[in-house]
Amino acid sequence: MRATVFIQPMKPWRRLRSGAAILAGRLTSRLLRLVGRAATALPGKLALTLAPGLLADLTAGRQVFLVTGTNGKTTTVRMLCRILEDQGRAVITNPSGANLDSGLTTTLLAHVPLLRQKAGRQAALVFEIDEAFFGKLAATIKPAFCLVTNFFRDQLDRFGELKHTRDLIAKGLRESQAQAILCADDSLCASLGRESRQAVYFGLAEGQLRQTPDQGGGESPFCVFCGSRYQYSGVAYGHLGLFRCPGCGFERPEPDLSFQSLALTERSVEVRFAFGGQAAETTIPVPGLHNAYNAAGALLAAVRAGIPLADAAASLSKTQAAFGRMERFAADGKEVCLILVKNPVGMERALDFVARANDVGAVMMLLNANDPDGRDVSWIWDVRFEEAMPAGPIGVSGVRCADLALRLRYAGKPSDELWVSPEHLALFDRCLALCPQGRCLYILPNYTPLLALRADLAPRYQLPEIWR
Amino acid sequence: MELRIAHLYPDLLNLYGDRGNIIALQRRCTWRSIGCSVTDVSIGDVFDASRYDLVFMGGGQDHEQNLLHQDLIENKGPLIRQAVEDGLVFLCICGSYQLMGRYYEEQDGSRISGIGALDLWTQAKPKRLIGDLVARSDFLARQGRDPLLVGFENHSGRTWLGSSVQPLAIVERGFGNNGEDHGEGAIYKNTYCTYAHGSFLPKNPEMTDYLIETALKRRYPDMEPLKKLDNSYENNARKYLLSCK
Ligand SMILES: [Zn+2]
Repeated sequence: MRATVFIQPMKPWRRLRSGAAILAGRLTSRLLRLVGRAATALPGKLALTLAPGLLADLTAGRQVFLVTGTNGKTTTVRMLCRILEDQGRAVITNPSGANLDSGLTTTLLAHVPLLRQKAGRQAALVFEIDEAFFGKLAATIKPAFCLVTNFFRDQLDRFGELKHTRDLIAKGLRESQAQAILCADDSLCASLGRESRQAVYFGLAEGQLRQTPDQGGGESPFCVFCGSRYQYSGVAYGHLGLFRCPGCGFERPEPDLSFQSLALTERSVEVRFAFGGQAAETTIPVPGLHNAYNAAGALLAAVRAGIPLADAAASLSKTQAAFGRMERFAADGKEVCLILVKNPVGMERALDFVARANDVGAVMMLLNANDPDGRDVSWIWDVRFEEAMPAGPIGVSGVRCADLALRLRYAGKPSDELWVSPEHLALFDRCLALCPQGRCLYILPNYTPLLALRADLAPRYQLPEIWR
Repeated sequence: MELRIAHLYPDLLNLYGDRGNIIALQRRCTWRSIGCSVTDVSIGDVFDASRYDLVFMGGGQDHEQNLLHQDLIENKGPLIRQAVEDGLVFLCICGSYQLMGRYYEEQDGSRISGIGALDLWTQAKPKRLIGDLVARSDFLARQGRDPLLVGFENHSGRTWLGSSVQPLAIVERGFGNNGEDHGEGAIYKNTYCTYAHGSFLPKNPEMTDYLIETALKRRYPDMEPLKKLDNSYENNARKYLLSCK
């Protein structure tokens, strides 16, 4: 065994055990690939069974960034990786979806040769972590930085509670002693600042928060500490905004990094960032205000890791959308835009985006209820379709298309404008035919129908592989 | 004619698409040209049962349920108990179903008091009961309505019914009240409780119509039976759940 694999000294038996687990895991990956199977979790699972301490061993002494939260993890990780790579750093990241300990270990196993090289010592590890497993993983991996994007209601059949999810992440932050990078405008996220000695915050510039007649607060209107109802003096979207608790005084922290969105288009968002007296402007080719939030989080993490603001902001302008996250491609003289939606806030953001787009030619929505989607589809009744229903016919597909069609029908869509079919490809063709030349077919699927439809469209339109 | 709905604690008891039930009641009234008003009644608001034909309560997260507990038990509890006895129509789902009973016993044995409007009680267990739910209801069958109720359940509480309370339905697929006695939900007078959360009424149009009719008949005893509606969208959504095994 070469001792350079591990930076920290280790007992010989542990080193031996880890070495054996690495060999076994890598062999499994190779075998799986030989038979044409993707190796995203199984090799790691096997290796962890052989050496439960392997993940700690492989990450020890390295600069680790963990990214968690409900929405925007994949895009944020992608942005952060781009910034780090542009600094000449080697970056190791897990494919989206492989965000449990087995997925992380599989990823690291694939990079053991790099980790053993001299350049590998400087490698940054940027991992997307499932919210429910964050506590355990953060304690094991001891990251330098933990970025929490936001807390929206998501996959409730698994976690049961937003507050519970927040508490799991709080535990991870306490145990890891990492520097927390938090969204100031999300009360649940900002409340984690008390769990980290050196939390920093990103948020929308105050002038850009809409004054709303309603109270704001969305899905979490009550103070996480004392239970009083928050007062809002401005709202970005959902429960993100300028909150203040009249009961205990907990309020939206002053952001260390604030941002203004200067222009929103179908293809990009132009943002001005301000951090410690410096400012930087950049156009990010991943549209939507929520992606400006993701960019701000990635940028703050990068700056805290010592990267100059201007450099990091410039890298953001070169980020491409992750698969299915506002991913655009050409199709027969038209365009297709895939927007993954996983929860009510995500769907409302997507509907808002489509409502503002100038190039809408047709709209499709797809709903499944497999494990990665969450088996409960009730969340579609929390979406305010009534307020942002796309005009014209809507193609409705997915295994649970009947549920979605029922929801749209009850939101007032006439039945002759509901094209319902579980055959997603045939329906795609029909919707694309409806879409005029030069315009865009917007497709809003949840997770597994996104994968299925994209796999069917990939050969036809030469789409890049999902796992980069 | 107008159906006057009170939505209790809509800002606190709003898990799993509970709003869908209100949407279904509204839609199915307006499709028949029956008026429908929804009044939100939350913490600190006065609950005057005489102003409503139907009361809806959903389920909430623990954090939120703790916040409303005192207001519910001390201020609204006696009024709700009286209204239930008087035969006002109630639909209570998941968390509020539990709260309508005598108590909720946590895993550590401590008890949270309920409203005590119905003779039932709930015990928390570590394993959550999660999944699709199909149950057969006798009372709908007796009226010549489709007796199968479909939904999705997600609860850690096991609910047990006293002798004065009947189950809403008998479980055909899923767990229901406790995963043991095959009962699902509860009926007492005109109060209907179920663990089928979220889009319960949208996917059970016969149940929705039954509630609308029962509620309206208390104020308009001579009303004609409700007009039939085209239920093809509802039935397609039901078909998926009924065909899965
Ligand atoms: Zn407070």
